[in-house]
Amino acid sequence: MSELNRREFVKLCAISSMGLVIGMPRHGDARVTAQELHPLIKIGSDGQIIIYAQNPDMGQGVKTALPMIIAEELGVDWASIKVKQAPWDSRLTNQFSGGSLSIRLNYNTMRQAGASARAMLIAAAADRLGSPVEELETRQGYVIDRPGNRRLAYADLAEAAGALPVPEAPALKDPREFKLVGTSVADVDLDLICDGRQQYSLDLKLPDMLFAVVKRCPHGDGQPVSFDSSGAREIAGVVDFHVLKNTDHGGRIILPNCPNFVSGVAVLATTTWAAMQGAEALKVEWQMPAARDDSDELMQRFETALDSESEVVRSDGIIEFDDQEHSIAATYRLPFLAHVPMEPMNCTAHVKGDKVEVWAPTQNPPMAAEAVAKVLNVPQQNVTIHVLRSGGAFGRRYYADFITDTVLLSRQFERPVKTVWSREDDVRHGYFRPASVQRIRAATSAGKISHWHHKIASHPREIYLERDGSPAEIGNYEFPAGFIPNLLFDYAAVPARIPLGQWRATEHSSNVFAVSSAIDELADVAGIDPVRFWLELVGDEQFVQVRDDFRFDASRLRNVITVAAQRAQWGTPLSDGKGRGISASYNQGIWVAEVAEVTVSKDSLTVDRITCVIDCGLVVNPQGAVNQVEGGIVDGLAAALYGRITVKEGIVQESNFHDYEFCRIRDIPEIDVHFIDSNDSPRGLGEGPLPPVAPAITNAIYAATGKRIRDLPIQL
Amino acid sequence: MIRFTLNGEDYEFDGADDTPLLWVIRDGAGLTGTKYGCGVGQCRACTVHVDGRVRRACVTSVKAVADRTVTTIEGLSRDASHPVQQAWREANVSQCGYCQSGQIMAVAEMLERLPSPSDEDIDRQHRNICRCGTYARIRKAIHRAAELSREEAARE
Repeated sequence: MSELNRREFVKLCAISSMGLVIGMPRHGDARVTAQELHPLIKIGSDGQIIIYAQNPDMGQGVKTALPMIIAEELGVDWASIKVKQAPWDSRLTNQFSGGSLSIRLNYNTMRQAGASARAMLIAAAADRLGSPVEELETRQGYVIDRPGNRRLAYADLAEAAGALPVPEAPALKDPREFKLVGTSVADVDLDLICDGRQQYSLDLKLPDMLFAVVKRCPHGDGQPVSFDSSGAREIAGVVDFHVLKNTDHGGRIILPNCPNFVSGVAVLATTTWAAMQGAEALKVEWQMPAARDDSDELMQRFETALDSESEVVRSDGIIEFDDQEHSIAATYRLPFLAHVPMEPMNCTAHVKGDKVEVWAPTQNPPMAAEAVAKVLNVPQQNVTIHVLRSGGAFGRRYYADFITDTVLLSRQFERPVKTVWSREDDVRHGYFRPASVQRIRAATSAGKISHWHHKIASHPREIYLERDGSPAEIGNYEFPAGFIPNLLFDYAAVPARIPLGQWRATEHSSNVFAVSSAIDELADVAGIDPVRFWLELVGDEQFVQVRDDFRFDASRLRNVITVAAQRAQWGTPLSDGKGRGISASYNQGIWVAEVAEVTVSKDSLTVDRITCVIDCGLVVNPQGAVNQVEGGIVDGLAAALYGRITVKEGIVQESNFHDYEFCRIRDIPEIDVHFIDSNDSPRGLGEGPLPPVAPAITNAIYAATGKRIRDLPIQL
Repeated sequence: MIRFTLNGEDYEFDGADDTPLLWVIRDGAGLTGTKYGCGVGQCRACTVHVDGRVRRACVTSVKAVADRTVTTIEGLSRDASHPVQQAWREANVSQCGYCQSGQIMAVAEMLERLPSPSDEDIDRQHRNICRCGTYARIRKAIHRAAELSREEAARE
């Protein structure tokens, strides 16, 4: 850009007309307008620069981190800008939070957004000042003409800049000159949160709004037959009832990978409490489906399936177990897990004719828009999705099941409706992390792993969510594929009707437990220190070609293991009853090693310390990154200590935090988080730190006691 | 009609007297800083102060606060300057933030009773759930808030 003069710049620009002027009246000042330079960047006529966070924030920090990247390239002072959450916008790509992808997929897009707006402002200044663009630079919201010693504020250039075409490939900063990215920035909503003013979707109140609580069929595949509202009608504030059948509105799965609402009867009321009491008092007769699974019985079916036919996911060399020097065969059992985000599921909608407005704590605005358009049979462009900060999500809000019933209710009652779920509704109608039974047989030769057979039986998401593709909940690229000459991954799909969905590091949260446990078991029978054994397995090569299209950087895995062992003082003596365990993984694009230190006395387990070393490339916001990693570790700890969903005759047995427990402060170890310095492009941190937690702990329990834990949650 | 003091002002509630205080505060008074998380007194996202003591608003009926003084996060300090709020900001405690009003209210009261809590005190007494897992920073912020409170007391 700096080498081009203004005319060439315009000639090279893509022809696009994003720069429309839109009025943005404010309280008391209807004259303030805003000029859009990009769907995520607006400059008000009052000088206020607004940067929109593209992806939903559920506590993972992207409402801060994504705008930081834009601000860096735009050349504005962070303290001077205002950050807002973007509503669903069909012009944007990757506008969802899931798969630890918000930063990973959008880093370059955000840089380009900031850089193209900056280039447009420079071009407008060049025009205004009659200076060549190469003599112009930007600093903290101004374009500066060095030779002429003149400067123009972005706000004064915004209108002219907005009329220019958007450059397709603007020059980006040299990352070594970053001033904001890579520094710790407080969450943009921190002040609002600390004084209780942060508005969540559940806090929203619209004029004339009705509150709805849906009494859902205890089995997600069932339907209401009839209902008796005589008791519910007696409750002050209860207004009306409405039967909601998913069979009338697109079925149980409304889009591939997107469950629809569970059928039931909605109670409409003037307050949340009246609606909750009304639902409690309502009597509904259900038609239950014939197929009704038990989770315990399903685990038995998984176990049996380990000895039956399966889909081969990857096969290298020859798998035969006969006379190897050391071998193991171990079976690991992982339960269904729920999300239990702190803010129970809820949604507010207002349908006016064929126009729909939705306010939701959604992780996936484009999917929400598509599902809403489908269930109401309206064009997508008639749908507005306001994205509110979610009180946690963890994968649960990826879907639109909590949105589709709300829009139907608003259409029915021709008023704004807010649907509120109780915690019991949330636990009983979750989309769970698949349970599985996993068997690993492995053997060594000359102190290294020579044979590895990992077989998984589970009830796969692909079948439940009606997605195309292999149902296998193990990828052919997963570690240790590529590192062991004779290796077999196979998968047995056991169909069932227990609702499944994304969870934090979904299949990795299970598979890494089996892998890191088995490596530890094999190290033990081979009589080799686990860290040394891991390093032997990872080897000395920098790269390992795992698949034609996937070259794995083994040096980064070796590095995180080595640094984690050092930081955890691996090998130094511990007193009786204490032990250390190591685990490592590559998942969701990041390399992670964790060491747990535990104390076991009689039947009680204390996790004293977790050391976590991560290579995720460039860290955009170190403070936010540490928060996210600590959170992932605590979530992994909860899965190790407590998490288990039980299903009997198709009905979830747990209901609230007393029987689906989560960690409290007394459970929390000292946590040491360390990032490897890297200039590689940044990856997401939402999921990667979670899977190694449980096996690090169970391996530490083994080191402390000689007792091997192969089933989660841990029972000593 | 039930009358009580809510953040320093008179409040009257004219509904069923077994209505949980949580919903009177949220839907009635429109103060949404107090959160619904479980409805059964487990998660403590709804923590408020009644006559200065911690109460879980979801399992406290409105009649139980008749003629009493209720303080919510909105009334904890005039300008978010309470030492616990200051410490929370300094430590960047929050992630999603949903449980944090309850965390702050619980800690503010704990520090009234225990001005210098040890880690063991915190483990025993602080029971609020944070689903994002901000606990390491909560612990740090509790110690910092205790320090700020002591400094404040020394100045007065």
